[in-house]
Amino acid sequence: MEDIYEITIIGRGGQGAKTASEVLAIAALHEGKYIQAFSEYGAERSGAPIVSFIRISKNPITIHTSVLEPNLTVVMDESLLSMANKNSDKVVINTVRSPDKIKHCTNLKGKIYTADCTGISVEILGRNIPNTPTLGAVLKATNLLPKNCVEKQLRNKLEQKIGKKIMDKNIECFNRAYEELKEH
Amino acid sequence: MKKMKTKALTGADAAGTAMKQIDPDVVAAYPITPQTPVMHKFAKFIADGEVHTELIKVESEHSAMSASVGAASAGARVMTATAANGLALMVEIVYIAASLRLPIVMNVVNRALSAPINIHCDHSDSMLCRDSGWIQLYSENQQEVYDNTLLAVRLAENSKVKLPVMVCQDGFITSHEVMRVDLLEDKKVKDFIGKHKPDYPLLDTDNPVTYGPLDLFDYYFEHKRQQSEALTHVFETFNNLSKEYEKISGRKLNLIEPYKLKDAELAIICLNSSAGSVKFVVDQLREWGVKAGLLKIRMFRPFPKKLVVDALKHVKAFAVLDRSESFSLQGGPLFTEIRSTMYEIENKPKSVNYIYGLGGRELKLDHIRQVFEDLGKVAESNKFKIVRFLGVRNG
Repeated sequence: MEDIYEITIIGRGGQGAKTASEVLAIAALHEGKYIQAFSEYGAERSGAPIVSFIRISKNPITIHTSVLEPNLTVVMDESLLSMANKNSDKVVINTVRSPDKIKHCTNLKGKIYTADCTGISVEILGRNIPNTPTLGAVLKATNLLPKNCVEKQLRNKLEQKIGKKIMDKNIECFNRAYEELKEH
Repeated sequence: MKKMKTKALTGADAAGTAMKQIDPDVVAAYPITPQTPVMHKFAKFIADGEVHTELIKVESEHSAMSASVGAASAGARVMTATAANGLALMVEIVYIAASLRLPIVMNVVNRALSAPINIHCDHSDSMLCRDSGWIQLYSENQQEVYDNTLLAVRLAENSKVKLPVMVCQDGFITSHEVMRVDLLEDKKVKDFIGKHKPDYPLLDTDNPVTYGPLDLFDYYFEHKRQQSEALTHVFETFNNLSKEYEKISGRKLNLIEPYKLKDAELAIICLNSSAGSVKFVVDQLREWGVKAGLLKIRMFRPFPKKLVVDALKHVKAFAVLDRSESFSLQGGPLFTEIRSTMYEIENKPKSVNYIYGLGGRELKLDHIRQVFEDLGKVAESNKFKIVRFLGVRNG
């Protein structure tokens, strides 16, 4: 599985974890990669924990199993921090706390990155939809894909649905988290 | 390289996109649960004016298939989609569609049947229809959903065949997972699909015909015999269409797909997405020197017996993975089919069956490794349990 980069995004229904996973995967596809993005469907209701998975590879992907040992774990809702894989190389967390504080109170072995995505989202959008800022944080932490490529796919995915004005604000969220990311 | 468009699509989107390019005359569907995102996607194409299809929104799946039967008898090219209990409710008319030799193509998103209530993947729904007379194609991934759907239209409408086709994909695993899919240009699809030329349309009033009359002990049996005969033309027709499809897509669709099976000693046989995960484990085991292989079955009805025998006869032991339970206590539907197929050869490989993944229980890579490990023991043993359960408590 060495040539497959695996990501797990942990969030709650309504926060946009599924959308974020699809945008990342589509952006990777446009960079010429093979991709897979899927979510674990339990009770489909707002607020319930939801886990989304992404695989990115330069070769075709044939497995259809959930990701057990992700290279990167993304925690979109801090109350679900305990679900994070402790062996991930990198963990990106939506929190006001610093990476040091998180390191101190968890058993996470990988490098920790934090950004207040909820704060950014509430400030700019007026509501807690932390997926676009979290994507910004993920890109800064990993250099996984070119920033403008993900921005373009975000627009492709969302602009028609939410309108240009809200879209621009989402891109502002995306950039803010990219700039404000803290690392351990 | 043939000109193509690469997109990130779910299995449901892949089916919906194929339907859009096919642009059928009529689609009948019941628009609430247990409907799948296939119709969601397709209904959007209709709303956006991208297809000319007449969408009939009916009051149940039973009516969806009834409307499909009516429209197909009239001479229309008809498609629909369903899943799980929706398919179960259709079943009475599903049999009628095949018996009337109507070339309807239906996307089935494989999901568990109640009870208990479950919306996740297993193959109980399409296996309920395995004796209905429909051709059944199974799809490993989103790309195969797309390819199978396009080919299914030609297969169904072939004048030697004239039978409905079910294109199956794994619920959620394939239907809701986004993967890379290479699409053909609309025009290429149009040219490949061609115009539907029904042989005996009801609307041809100059040549009046009757569909579905009373047919008692005088001719019913002959009609059933002809239905059986029609299925014998399926393999050759499929292979010819496959060659034609390969020319425009660069992708070869086989009735069965042997994977690293030529020199294999141990083999797994399965349907749909599990085949992809098994390929991954086979590659790993091969690196460790284990002669493992896979046989993926694309066409389950009719069953390509000769190919299966040729592919499997040399292995020491094989395991059939069944994602549905037929409660015969003799194993699942795929297992009994393959075991019966292998009966005629001498020096039969040893065979075991694993019922797995019911109600969406995940097939993990460790489970697959376990099966190959078990197979190693089975190959050396004369006494072993034949029907087993994989990944279940108290298995």
